[in-house]
Amino acid sequence: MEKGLSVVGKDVPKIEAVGKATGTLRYTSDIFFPNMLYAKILRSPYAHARVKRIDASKAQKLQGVKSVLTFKDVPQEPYGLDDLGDPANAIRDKHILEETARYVGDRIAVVAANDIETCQKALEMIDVEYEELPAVFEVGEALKSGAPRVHDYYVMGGRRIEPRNNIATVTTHVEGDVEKGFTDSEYIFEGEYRTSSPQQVPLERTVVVCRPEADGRLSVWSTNQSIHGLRYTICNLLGLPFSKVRANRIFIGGAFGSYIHTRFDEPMCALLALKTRLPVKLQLSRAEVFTSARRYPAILKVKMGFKRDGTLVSQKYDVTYNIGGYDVLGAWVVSATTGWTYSMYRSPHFSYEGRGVYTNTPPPCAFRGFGNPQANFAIESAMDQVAEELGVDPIDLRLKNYRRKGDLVLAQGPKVKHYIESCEVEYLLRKGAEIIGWAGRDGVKSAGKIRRGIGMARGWHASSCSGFEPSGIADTGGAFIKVNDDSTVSLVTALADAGQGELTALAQIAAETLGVGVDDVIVSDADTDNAPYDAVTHASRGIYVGGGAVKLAAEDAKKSLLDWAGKILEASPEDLELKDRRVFVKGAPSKSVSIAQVAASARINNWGTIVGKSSYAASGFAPHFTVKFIEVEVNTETGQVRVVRAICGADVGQPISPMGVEGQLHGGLAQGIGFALMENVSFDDSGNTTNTDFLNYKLLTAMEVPEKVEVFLAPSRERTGPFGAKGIGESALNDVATAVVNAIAHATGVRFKELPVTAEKVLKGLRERA
Amino acid sequence: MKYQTIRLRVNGEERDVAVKPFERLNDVLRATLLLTGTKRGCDTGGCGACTVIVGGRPVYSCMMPAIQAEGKEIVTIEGIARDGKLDPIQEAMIRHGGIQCGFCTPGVIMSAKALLASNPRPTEADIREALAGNLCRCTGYVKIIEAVMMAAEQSGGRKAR
Amino acid sequence: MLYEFESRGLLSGVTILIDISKLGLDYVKEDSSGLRIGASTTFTDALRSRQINSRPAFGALADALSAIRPVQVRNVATLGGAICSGLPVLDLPPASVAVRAKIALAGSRGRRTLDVEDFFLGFLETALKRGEFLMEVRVPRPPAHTGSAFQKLETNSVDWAVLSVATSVTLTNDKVSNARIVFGGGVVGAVPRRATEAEEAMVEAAATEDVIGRAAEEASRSTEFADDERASADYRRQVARVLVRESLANSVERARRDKG
Repeated sequence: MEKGLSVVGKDVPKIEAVGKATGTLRYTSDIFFPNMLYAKILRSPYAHARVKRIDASKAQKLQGVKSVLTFKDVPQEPYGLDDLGDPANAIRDKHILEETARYVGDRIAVVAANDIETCQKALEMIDVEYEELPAVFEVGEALKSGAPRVHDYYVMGGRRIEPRNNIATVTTHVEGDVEKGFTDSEYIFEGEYRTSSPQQVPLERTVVVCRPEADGRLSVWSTNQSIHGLRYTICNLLGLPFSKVRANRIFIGGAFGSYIHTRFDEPMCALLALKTRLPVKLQLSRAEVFTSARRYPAILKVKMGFKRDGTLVSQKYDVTYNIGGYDVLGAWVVSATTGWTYSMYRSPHFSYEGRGVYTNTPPPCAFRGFGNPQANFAIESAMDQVAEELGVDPIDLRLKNYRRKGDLVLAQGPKVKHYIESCEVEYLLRKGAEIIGWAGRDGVKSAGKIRRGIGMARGWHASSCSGFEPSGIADTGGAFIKVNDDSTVSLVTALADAGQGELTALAQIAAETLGVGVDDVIVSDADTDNAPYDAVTHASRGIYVGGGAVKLAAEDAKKSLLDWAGKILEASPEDLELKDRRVFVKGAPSKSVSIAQVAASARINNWGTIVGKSSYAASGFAPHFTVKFIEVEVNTETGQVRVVRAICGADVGQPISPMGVEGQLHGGLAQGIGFALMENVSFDDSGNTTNTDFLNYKLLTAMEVPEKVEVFLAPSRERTGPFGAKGIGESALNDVATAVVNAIAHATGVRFKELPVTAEKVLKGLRERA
Repeated sequence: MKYQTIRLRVNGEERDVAVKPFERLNDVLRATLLLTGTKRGCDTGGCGACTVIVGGRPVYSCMMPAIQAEGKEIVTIEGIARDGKLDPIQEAMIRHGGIQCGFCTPGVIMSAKALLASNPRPTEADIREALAGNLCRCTGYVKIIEAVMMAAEQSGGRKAR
Repeated sequence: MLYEFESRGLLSGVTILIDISKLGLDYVKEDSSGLRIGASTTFTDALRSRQINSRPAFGALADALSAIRPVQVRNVATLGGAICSGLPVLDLPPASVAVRAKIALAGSRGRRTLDVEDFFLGFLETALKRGEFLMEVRVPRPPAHTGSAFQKLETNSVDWAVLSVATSVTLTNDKVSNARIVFGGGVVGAVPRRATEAEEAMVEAAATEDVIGRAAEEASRSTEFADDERASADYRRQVARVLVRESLANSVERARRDKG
């Protein structure tokens, strides 16, 4: 841990907490402009169908309706989400509104009217004749030869590509020779694991507001994790110069990755606003939110070869993702899983092959972990099973093989490379084991029909999308700082804050660097006009890259601050330090001047104004590590599982806000337990989503969260992170579900390889075992 | 569409509003009275973001026709700070890290406020039950439950065993 | 409920909606005939009433009322609303059948009383005629040494029942003189279902663990359970054994404590 820190490393209330606690902070949902129109989307009732005829004339004539758009009114060239990497590699398979529907709920038309009721009536008046086409829902079916084709072709780099067997994308990575490795192994393990489709469930429903300005520009507010990405995509799609759109950063009521990309509704809303010359708000109903985003479901085949003493020799992973009707982030998640499978354990031989398969289901998108929870479920379940078969303690097996200091790890693709510096995995494993009583776990009491078990899993995530070689993924950031005449500091950053406390942490970093309190930092309103580019607030990179940029900008401002303070104090800048809003001569505490005075003197004497800027490109992704130790109670008569105790340990380097880190671990725990036991967006035989409300989509309430939750942080420091910090957002979730399922295995002797592990499945497993 | 005028008593103030027949209390609060502190997370009484206090009891404002709230005291998040001084529950939530994205926060605070008004010394189980209808996706509830317990102790009620 | 129906298009033929919450039908009374609960009584008010908590015989009602979560729903939902919904998966219908409730209906053609068991006809279908509304729920005074209980299996705490069961047992000289076993959520046919063979088998028997176990077995075997998104019929059948056994044990324990 860093020494001598005043603000970083302290628990501070979030800068926007009062606004949230009083209901005065406005979210996009709370925007009501004069003359604002509302918009609603007409959605396909069929999983695969061509629009033979669409007639919106009656709807357009309805009193209160201002605009109706169909596929004929939108750009005809297919587009892709290409702001994150080289546009030449983007899969272009979608339009703002479609002529061919590829999932139940696909976007056929959109209406803008004075109120929601009029929108609803207008939708019912749009006359559509569909030609139903054969559909596929499971990857197994989609991969068969002769299966219906979800897309006849997509466009990439200007060329038409025909996906064979509905495979949209493939990523492979090989090191050594896995088959040779298997022949050298003394014990081979094989397993197949299947993960499900939980929904992100942000509390604020997806929404976008667009307002045309008198000068012809368009202002946009949206639940989106990247103002720059949003502007880029809308402008590209609609053929507008970037200067025409101003995307505003606004606090978001939860995201969990579902907003890292520009959605379908955002360009629709922009088009409507431009056409009607009126503000337009397009908000999804909760049912629509359930069908607009979810986790990529995966089938993971694992083959591992070990020596009898538990040394891992060879690892082979084959992963198939169901990417739904369009590629939103399918190619990215397939690529990213290279790193999630590679970086857990060392072995001389490794191979990964991943593929994304189209089906006629609503397209999933990014969700906290982005393939890592899926990979973790397969790998950490496998390790548990191997430990049992080899007669090795599960923790010792991890300790023997984990990738550690000095090892090469990969993140979001084979090109994203990093050598581990800070790594406290051993500390985490040993301490977690001690706290939960791992050594005595087999003696855990079982009372009658209730069986108890203790399980664990370890995990990690990257803190950026950069490595020591070009990664091919947009990952830079920047910030502006100015120091004001009253010792306050203004900070301009494009980063999003969906609740994780990003902006507060950045304020702490700026405050620490400039020797002021966190209350002295004003995080300015930001938009694409005034804020330097930052790629996206995702990938757990907010503090490591976003904070890195802020620290650099603050240090830039610090230069002139110390220069001019030196003039006043007659000292050299190297002999000065900042603390409590003052500049001190080191070792002579009586010689000081307030920051306010320095700023004022600089102004009066025309020395200049104290500003700082930065452009930051990380050259590594500093993995953050976690362990989860979980204790469950299984009711052997009903199959119900209760998590009664959870120990969450993390190595985040130097935490910027320990309370914030704790909050992330708590939230990830609840989401992970839900992933393990109950959450899953489900479909019927016609591709309809069957659970689109909270009655039927089950997640944890305050009554289900474990009674005993403990968090501990490893003393750690990452050289490359701002004040030694790394990320936490995604490692907070990645290994939770696996730990729960490992605990169930310990309690019942039954190994579950498919999520979610419902009570019914547990009861069935117990009966089959008996 | 025929509008009716009704009189609602919101945060101690009488307001005459024109409402559509089935109009939900939540829509009247947010869109007509512009009290956007109360949120709307769904349409079927499943998430709790719309929780307000009516007649001293927490209810889902998205499930209550505005006309049914006539004649009763309605309290929203905007009405619980007194003379600019935050309620102990608000203070505890802010200090203790019970607020992440904040979208569930107004509803949570209203449910907690109603709980402490009728049960000043709740057990942890009481708090969990009182908050079962307020979904939170960010915090995992841990710090929220702790904050409500702290607010109870703060307000003079001692921690029940 | 109103908006649930509206969102499913079930109110499209409705032109006038009358709010009956101010007709003075929110009360819980007790007289020599038994409990009388006004249709507009909220679950919260009913739960807090002295009368419902006055005898273990009414345990099924108290259990069902408190099983409905969250508190925001209990504060607004009414007994009349729950019974007239025609949704057996709600907790109150099976509990009301277990305690032999009767309902008093009133309409332009006069008043009538029905056994609540005859009121449920199917999914969203009740015996309510046009122009009628439910005025009162009556729970006839049970004989001394009657106990009743309700419980449900749910996925999280704010769920509709995957399976629910309400039971009541009357003991005479510590032998079962009357028993009811009523399934609510999780059965085929969308009405509360009594396991009559299992009920009859208990009569005249001592209220032992054995007898309870066999009744639970019989109830599980003879009832047709639903297969749906929440669970399979097979799972429900297995869990029914457990739930009925626990519920009967509760009812018997309460019956022993019930003084009448």
